[in-house]
Amino acid sequence: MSDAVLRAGGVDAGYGALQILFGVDLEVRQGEHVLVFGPNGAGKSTLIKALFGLVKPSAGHVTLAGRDVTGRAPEGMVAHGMAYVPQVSNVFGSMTVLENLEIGGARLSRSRREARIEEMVALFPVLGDRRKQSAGTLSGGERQMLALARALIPEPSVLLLDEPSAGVAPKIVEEIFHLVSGLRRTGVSVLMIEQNARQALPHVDRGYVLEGGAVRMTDTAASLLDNAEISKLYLGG
Amino acid sequence: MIFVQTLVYGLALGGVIAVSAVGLTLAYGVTRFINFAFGEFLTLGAFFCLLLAQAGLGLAWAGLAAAVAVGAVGVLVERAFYDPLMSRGLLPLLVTSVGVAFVVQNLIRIFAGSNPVRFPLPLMRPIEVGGLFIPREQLIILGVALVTMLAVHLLLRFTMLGKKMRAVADDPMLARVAGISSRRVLDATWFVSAMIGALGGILLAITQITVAPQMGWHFLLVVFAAVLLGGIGSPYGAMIGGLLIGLAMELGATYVAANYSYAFAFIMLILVLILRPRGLMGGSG
Ligand SMILES: Nc1ncnc2c1ncn2[C@@H]1O[C@H](COP(=O)(O)OP(=O)(O)O)[C@@H](O)[C@H]1O
Ligand SMILES: [Mg+2]
Repeated sequence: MSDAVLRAGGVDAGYGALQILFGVDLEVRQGEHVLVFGPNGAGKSTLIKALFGLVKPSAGHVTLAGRDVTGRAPEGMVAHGMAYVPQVSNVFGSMTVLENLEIGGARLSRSRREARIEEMVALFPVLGDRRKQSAGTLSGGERQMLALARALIPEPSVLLLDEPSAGVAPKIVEEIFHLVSGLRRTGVSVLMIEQNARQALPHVDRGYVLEGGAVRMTDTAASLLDNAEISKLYLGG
Repeated sequence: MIFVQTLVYGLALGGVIAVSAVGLTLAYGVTRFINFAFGEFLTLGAFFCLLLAQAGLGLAWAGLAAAVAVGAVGVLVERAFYDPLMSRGLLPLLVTSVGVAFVVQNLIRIFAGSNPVRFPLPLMRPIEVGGLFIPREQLIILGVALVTMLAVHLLLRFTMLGKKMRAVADDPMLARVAGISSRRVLDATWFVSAMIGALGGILLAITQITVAPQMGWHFLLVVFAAVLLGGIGSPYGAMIGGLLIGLAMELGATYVAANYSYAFAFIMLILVLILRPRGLMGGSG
């Protein structure tokens, strides 16, 4: 597809001698929301790290908006329009909510940064109420929202989310998925990982099943939800 | 009478310690290793200031220029010796920093000799307040120390550079993920740390009236005490820790035993650490 914003082609990656990913092919198209799911330890987080440059692929290519960015450092990825929200420790706990957002906009001009912060506060009103509060005191859901907002400040073209429901109270999980889904309005493309795939799939366009570090299957979200075998193996029955 | 004078001396010494401790703890917060060559930033600051003053510069300008020069030395030291070792763990860094300390001390000896040199302070008449004579030097030291600490506070709270420094200190990985170039933040941190160290060294030279090649190395112990007392990595803790240690040293020397002021610094430290193992402002993490 020529309209892929983010594409991985034949990506191998791992930690030292330990190979985790084996020839992963994946793409995220303009404005599309994509879910990667699969069992614990399948290599989902490693895949996101390889795309973002935190783990250097030992083979294959990563392209961002048609540009080869394989193995670039994360700082460079951010400069080229990628953003990443890690699964854990994704806010600066010793800094205020406002300061966390400012760090997200560190590369922008002051006026642009302030404008983007106001847009994020409009999108996540709870953050506006807590501007001066230390991020370390936020609830799980509020932290995820702050982490999302921080990542969105530089107006990335692709947002990588590692388990946004982790550490979030069950009744807030649906709200988080709604918020992410609502980002379609801004045009940002999303690549999301979730353990909780049954709940996440209805909010995305397409999905990839990752197992043993390789893509087992890919299809539209609706087909994956209808697929009895996928349902039995990966969606908890 | 004596009490108030002791208090002034204690606060001034505390200011010297506090400034130095802030410089050390800032670099620690961002790099997570204790730079044992930090004392040499103090010594270099005092000697550069002495040199420039001897060359005819006014003391204030000499002090500022010396601080900026030592800031540059700090960046050079980091780039040449520490940065290449950053990924090798703590021990090589600690050993290297001790090595850097000895090399700098000996370089200073080669150029300036081993004997203490008088610091060229102009004669100043003490200020008389209600029958009390307060030396102007002590007030100047306290003033410079307070202004320096205020400047650090403004840097950390209100500038983008300061916020980036705090972000890297909080979580270096997340800072990278957020697109912060740790390279530039590190350079800036070392510059600021060494520059503040140099200011501390100049203030120390004023309190001691002399400069010597090992002045910073010897003073480092007290600076460590202040850093630990306040909670390592916390700039505000270092400020409070420095003032408390300075007061403890002067009060102890005046009222208990004149030759044991270092001991009072450590009695103070031990007492606080028994009550609060992470220091006054140390976090839980
Ligand atoms: N930093 C690391 N060093 C070594 N092995 C790791 C590291 N991180 C993850 N792994 C291993 O890589 C495999 C895949 O982990 P991960 O990508 O986190 O899986 P998932 O996100 O799908 O649960 C696991 O076996 C895990 O133990
Ligand atoms: Mg994971």
